[in-house]
Formats: sequence, C-alpha cells, structure tokens
Amino acid sequence: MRFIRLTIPLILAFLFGVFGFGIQYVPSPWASNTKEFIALWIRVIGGVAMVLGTYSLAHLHTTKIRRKQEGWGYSIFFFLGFAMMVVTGVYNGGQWFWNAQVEHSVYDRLYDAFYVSAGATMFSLLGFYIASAAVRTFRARSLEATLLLLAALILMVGRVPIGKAISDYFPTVSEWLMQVPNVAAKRAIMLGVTLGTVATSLRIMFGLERSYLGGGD
Amino acid sequence: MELRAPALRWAALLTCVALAFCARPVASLAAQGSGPARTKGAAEPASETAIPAQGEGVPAPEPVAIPAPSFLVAEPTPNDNGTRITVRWPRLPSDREEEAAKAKWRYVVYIGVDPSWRWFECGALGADEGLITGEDISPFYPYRFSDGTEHFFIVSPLEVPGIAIHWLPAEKQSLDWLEGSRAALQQCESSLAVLKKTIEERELFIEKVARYRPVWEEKAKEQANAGTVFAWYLKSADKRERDLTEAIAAGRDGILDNLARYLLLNALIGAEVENAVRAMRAADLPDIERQLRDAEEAIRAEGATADRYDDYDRLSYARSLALIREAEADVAATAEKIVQEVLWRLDDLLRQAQLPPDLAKLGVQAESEAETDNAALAEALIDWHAALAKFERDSGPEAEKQWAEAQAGLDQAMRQWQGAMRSTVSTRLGAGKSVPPERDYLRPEISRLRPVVDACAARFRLMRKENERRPYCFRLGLATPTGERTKPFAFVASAAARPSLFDMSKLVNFIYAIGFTGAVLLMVVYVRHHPDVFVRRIPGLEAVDEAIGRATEMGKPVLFVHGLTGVGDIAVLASINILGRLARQIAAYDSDLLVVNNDALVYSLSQEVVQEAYLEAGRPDAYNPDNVFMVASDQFPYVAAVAGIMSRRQPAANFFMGYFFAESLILAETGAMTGAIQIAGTDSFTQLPFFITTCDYTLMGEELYAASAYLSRNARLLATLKAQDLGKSVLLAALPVGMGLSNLGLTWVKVIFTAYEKGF
Repeated sequence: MRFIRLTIPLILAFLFGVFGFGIQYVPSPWASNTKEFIALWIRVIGGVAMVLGTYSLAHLHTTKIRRKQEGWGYSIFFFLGFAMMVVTGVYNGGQWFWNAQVEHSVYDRLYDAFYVSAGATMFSLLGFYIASAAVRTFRARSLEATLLLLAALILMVGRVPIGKAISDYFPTVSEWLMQVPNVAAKRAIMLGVTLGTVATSLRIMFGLERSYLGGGD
Repeated sequence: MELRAPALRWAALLTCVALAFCARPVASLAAQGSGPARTKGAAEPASETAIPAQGEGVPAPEPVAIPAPSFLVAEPTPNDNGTRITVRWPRLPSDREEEAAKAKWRYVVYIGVDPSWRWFECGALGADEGLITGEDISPFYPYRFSDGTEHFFIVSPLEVPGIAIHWLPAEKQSLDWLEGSRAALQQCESSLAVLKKTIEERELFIEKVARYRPVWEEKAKEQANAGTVFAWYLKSADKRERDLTEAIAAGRDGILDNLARYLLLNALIGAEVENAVRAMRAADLPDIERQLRDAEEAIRAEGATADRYDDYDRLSYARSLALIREAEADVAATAEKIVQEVLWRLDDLLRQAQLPPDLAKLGVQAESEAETDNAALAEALIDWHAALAKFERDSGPEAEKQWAEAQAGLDQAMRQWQGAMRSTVSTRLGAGKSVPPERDYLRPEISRLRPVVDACAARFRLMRKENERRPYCFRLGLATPTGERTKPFAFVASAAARPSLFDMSKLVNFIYAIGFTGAVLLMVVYVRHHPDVFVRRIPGLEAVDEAIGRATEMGKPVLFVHGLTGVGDIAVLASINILGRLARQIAAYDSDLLVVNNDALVYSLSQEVVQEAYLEAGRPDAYNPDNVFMVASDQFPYVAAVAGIMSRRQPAANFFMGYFFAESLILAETGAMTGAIQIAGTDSFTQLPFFITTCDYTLMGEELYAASAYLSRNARLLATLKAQDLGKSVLLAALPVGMGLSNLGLTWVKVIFTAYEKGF
C-alpha cells in the first residue's frame, strides 16, 4: 500500500521532473510536441476533475438546503442559475451544443446581462476597499509609515496634471520612485521567488517534500 | 534566512567558482570553432569586384575595390525547429576599412537549392547587424563566442520570399483548394440555416406589424405630435421589413456564390488529379509508394542533389493526389447531387419567403446555363506547373515573366469558370425546376472532407519538413545604398538545417540549474552531519500556532483560501504543502478547517491532502469531506462566495495562500472586518501591498515557499532553505562584482548573467 501511495508517486514526480527539465534544453520539434502532449494531458485530467468540482458544488448547496443552514435560500439560486446556463448552453439558440456557439443567443444574453454585470459589480467594490485600506496604511504611526505616506503623496500628486502645475519636480520624483526604489524592491522579491520556486521544485522532485501527497515527512 | 559565518564562507567560495566559470566558457568555446555539418566555401585566391557605375543622368558612385572574403561558411543553427542556417564570412582586415566600407556597400546573401539553379536573395546585411564583436558578445550566438572577426547572417530557407520549390507550393495549393471547398460547403450549410431563421423572423415581423398597422395608420392621420410618432413607427416598420428582405436576397446570393466556388475548387482538384495521373508516370498508388521509397533512399544518401529532392517531392505530391482520388472513389455525393440538394433547399425557402419582384431577381443575369471550360482550366494548371518549374531553375527575367503570366492566366481561368458556374446555378434556381434529392448529401460531404483535408495537411507538413532539412547553397554579393547589386563572389557554401540535441543558447541557464541542484543536494548531505540548522524567525509562521489556538478557543473554524492559479503553478504546490501541515495541527487541536477552492484539480488535491493529514494526526473521524469544497471557478464569483462564507461562518483565522490577483484586497478586507486573525502568503508582488495592509502577517515571496520547511522543522527541508541562502549570497556578491567589471569595460561578464535568451 505504501508502495502505491508513496513510492510510485515519488518515482513519477522524479521522472517527470527530470524529463520536463531535460526537454527544455532540446531544440527539436519532438521536444516541443512532447511538451504540448503533456500539457494536453493536464487539460484532460483537468476536464475530469471539473466533474468532481461540479459535484462538490452541487453537494455543498444541496446540504445547505437540506439542513436549512444560514443563507440556504441563496443555494436555490445556484441550482436555478446552473440549470439555466446548462439548458441554454445545450440548446445553443436552436443549433444545439454540437454546433458552433450561436452569437446573441439566450445563453449569451444571460452571460452578458447577469454574469458579466455581477462580476463588474464585485470588481467595482475594489475601489472602496482600496480607499479604506489606504486610510489605514497612511496613518503616520512610525517612521516607515511616514515615509510611505510621503512617497504615496508625491506619487499621487506627480501622476496627475495638477502635480506638474505645482512643480515640475513632482512628475520627475514620482517617476524616480516608480523606476528606482519600486523596481529594486520588486526585483529583490522576484529573485527570492525564483530561487524559492526552483528549491520547491527540487524538494518535490527529490522526494524531500511529501506533504502534497498527504503523508508526513 | 540570515547569513551566518559558514554561509558567508560558502558564498565567497561559490563567487570565486562562478567568476572562474565566467572566463572558462568564453575561452574554451572560442577555441572550439564552428559546429557540425558545415561546408566551407572553397579557399579561392582573393579576388576583387567593383560596384558597377549607375545609368546615365545618375551620379555614379565612386567605384570601390572590394576584396573577396577568404571564406564563406554555412552551418545549421540550433533552434526549436532546427530550420535555420547560419552563414559566416570574415570582416575586413581592419576596423577602419570596415567602417569606411559600410557607407558604400552592404553584403547581400543569396540562397539556391542547387548551384546551377536559380538564386534568390535572402536579404542584405544592415550596417549594424551581423557582426559579433569582442565587446558585445551575443550570449545567444549558438556556437561559440567569437573574437569579433566575422559577419554572420541567419536564414530560414523556406521563409525566403519568392523561393520556389516546385511541388511544395503545388501541394499547398491543393490543400488550400480542399480546405476551400469544405469551407464553401460549410458556408452553404450555415447560410441555409441563417436564411431560414431570417425568413421566419421576417414572417413574424410582418404578421406582428399587420396587427398594428391599421391603428398606426389611423393615428398617423390624427393630431400633429402623435401623428408624427406613428408615422415614424410606420416608416421604421417598412424599413425593418425591407432590411430583412434584403438580407434574405443577400443570403441567397451568398449561397449561390459559395456553391459556385465549391464547384470550381472541386473541378480544380479534379483537373490537378487528371494532369498528375498523366504526368506521374506511375500506374497506381502502390507503384507510386514504391517509387517514393526509392526516392527517399536517394535523398538520404550522401551528397543528394536537388534533382533527387525534386523527384522525391514530385512523387510525394503524386501520392497526395492519388490519395485524394482514392478518397473520391467511393463517395455517394457527386458535385451534381450537392448542387441539386442546395438548390432544392434554397428554392424551398425562397418560395416560403415570397420576395418582392425587384429582390426576387437573381444577383447575376442568368438567362441561360453558361458553358464551363474544363479544358481551359486544366491547360492553365499545366502552364502554371511548367512556369513554376522554369522559374525555379532559370534566373532570367523571361522565366519570371512567364511565371507571372501563368499565375495571371490561372486566376483568369478560375474567374471565368466560377462566373460561368455562378450563372448556371442561378439559371437553374430561377427556372424553379429543382427536384428533391434522394437523401442528405451536403452534411455527410462536409464531414467526409474533413479527414481528407487533415490527411492532406499532414502530407504537406511532411513535405515541408523534408524541404526544410534539404541542403541549400549560399553565395555572397554586395549592394550599394541605392540598391545596385554586384556579381556575387565565386564562393558557394552549402548546409542543411537540422535540429541539435542541446540548445546552446540555454547553456548558461543549464549551468545555473545544475549548479543550484548540486548546492541543494550538498546542503542536504551537509545537514545530515550537522543537523543543527539555523533559520531566521518568520513571524507569519510563528503566528500559525497562535491563530489555530485562537480558533480552537473560540470554537470557530479556520478558513484556508487558495489563490486563483491551477496546479501548474508552483505557488499552488507550496500552498498545498502548507495546507497539509496546517491540517495536521488543526486535526490535533480538534478544530474545524474550511478549505475553499476555485480550481477542480486543486480541489481534488486539497481534499486528498487534508484527509491524509487528519489520518496521520490520528483523527480520521474528525475529517469532514464537506469542509473542503469548490465554490466557483471564476475570479469574482469566487470572491463573492468566499466573502459570504467569511461573513456567515465568521472564521477565527484566515489563511490566504497562493497567487492572487485583484481579489486579494476584497478577500482580506472582508476578513479584517470580521475580526479574524489573517495570515497571507503570496509570490504575486503586485498584491503584496494589499495583504500587508490588511493582514496581520504576510509571507512575502520566497517565504511562501519556505513555509512548509519551516513548519515541519525537518532538517532535510531546512537544508534546501540554506541552499536558497547560498544562491542569494552568490547573487549578492555578483552584483557589485558585475558592476565593477562593467565599469572597467569588461562587458562580457553579462553573458554569465543572461540566464535565458530565446535566441533566434
């Protein structure tokens, strides 16, 4: 059992890791085709997992309705929305789902009128959250916070036309802040992230890291 | 991960090794010389050539004596497809001569499939291109680091404009015809469906308007203002009806056009097959296959000439046509049956539509069925092949003219044929004598053609591949800035492109990857003997116990939120590792863990990991599969669902782990409002400020990857963190060293830090 649950996955992780690393350096159509083929399999497995995901979603909302949990009424809308999209998607404006998707069908209209609008509404909330987060961040409680506040003020003023009207230095300094300290910090994080990514990959490839298999060390 | 004395020692040692490495590859590769399978131009005695004087009335440039290069080398260039060739030749003896010459002439590279055949111009070398200098070594120049004495030019032979390899364009053309005929049929089919809908829409509209029209007409005569509105209603209704009627007429004309196009392409393929049968000098398909095998052996033999390749290509094309013909043999649908079916369906719809007389008239004057001249079409095709073959071999303007004429002749024949056929089908439709087909031919024909097109495309790719790898010849000439060309130099170099086993452009990347892997393994071995590994305190991870303890005390759940990326992202694997360790602790504390997912694969993985963690903690009974669930697969539905869970379940601790986008702030701010202790970890530096602002602790960048090792306290895993420190030490040391060397003018140092360049 341990062999199936642990040893085989570790061997596969090592083999695929070494193989994936190796073919990056082989400049032949065979290598690029193989990469595409593996990517295709990931998509196929993803497609199968999607069924599980849909089941999970349906199970979650069924349980909520059955147990009359708080907000269970919203779960009814999940099933309504799900059924509507499936039915209109399958019907495909009278062309049925095996044909190319018909434009401006009911499915399209539902997507544009409900889904896109609801997404845009959620996204617009971000503006308010940014404002509230900014208020919290820009409280000059320490030296670092004061510096941050100053940098933010210069940057904001430098990015709007009034900044240039006040002084030519504002756009220049704000550009400098973006291009020098900001980029330096970004690159430092990226270097660390890159090394961390490689180290994590190696830990998985060499079987040092096994928690993704669910077991212990 | 703080540096300590041993780490510093390691860093210094590795910096020295890295610096030593900088020098070695440059020196050794420079000494290696060129790559494999190249042919050098014959070392003729240096000759001189001169730019000819320009025509009358144009000031003649000063004639320049140009020494012929002492060699010309062509060699395959490694790249993803192995389809490129590098041509190299020496610079002039001194920089001064080179600079002076740039203003007066440029190098021109010519390509040919055989020295005695036509030469095509690949392109002219720009004033600042194709020169490798000692100061500006191109890190992705694949073969070696040059000492700056050569020019180079990289060519993808089949991309050279105008280069013709007879059977390749012919095969491509047949493929286009096949694809085109299928597309035309598909278009007919979908246009018939659209036409049906438009007719129904028009009928409904007329019916609806008919109900209101009397009222509108009545009202339009009444009061001034209301009358204007109702008059506008009437006008709009008339316009809409007219638009729909015109759309029906346009749809009908489009179907007839597509039908005529399908018939033309079908006839062209038929004519090409017939011509090929006459010309292929082969009895049947097995005979062609046999000949093709012999031809393939001939091109694989050493020193295969262009004629051998021509034979191979001709037979490949013949086989392609024979296969198309074979596919046609047992087909129920003939072109006539397709026409009959389309016209009958169209006629049926038009009868239903009852178009007004002005639009019922067909787009093309169709008084009688026009004659389609199949013989003229076949003849134009034969001329086209003959002109292409001549153009490929002869470089004179006559061949070029004939080629252009043949192209124009074929286009003309095709236009005439299609025009005549359009007239014929219009006449047949106008006559209203269409009869129902025995069965549905159109749809099966569309389906049948697909595999035929795919097979033809596969054969074309095969032929193209052979032609990409065949030997090509190269010559060098000169051009003035005004475009005058000299007679090319006598050298002819030849090479065949081919893929290589190792992409030298990624050599530096490879060395670093191997070096870092070695460092990780060394550190793992090192900690086996020195298990007391120091790792700096990471407050975000120290707070994990506190967060879980708080949740346990409050009797509230812990919420684990994944980022938006899938399992292909290493950040997801890192967060899964953290999840496993958190789940084990939570199981031990007998608290609740909720895991929300937006990717089906991540969901499956999370479920498995959490279940195993509970099992390992000895609490399999406490595991509730309903607590690991998928909430949505898109960004904002995910945000809405998770924010809802936070508001309703009021978790005591929130963990945000993975790669986040715009949703990060909404999630973390909602969590902050519920009063939960929040720990975030992400490598998305654009979202880090939001997490830092709204969360109690944030794992920044690499800390996300270090978290699993940190939480486990396993010495082998901590060793990899030390290897990361070592890597950072090398980079830290390299920064000032690199800056110093660059300021001293030693720019080659950048080669060792150009980790990956796509190259050509």
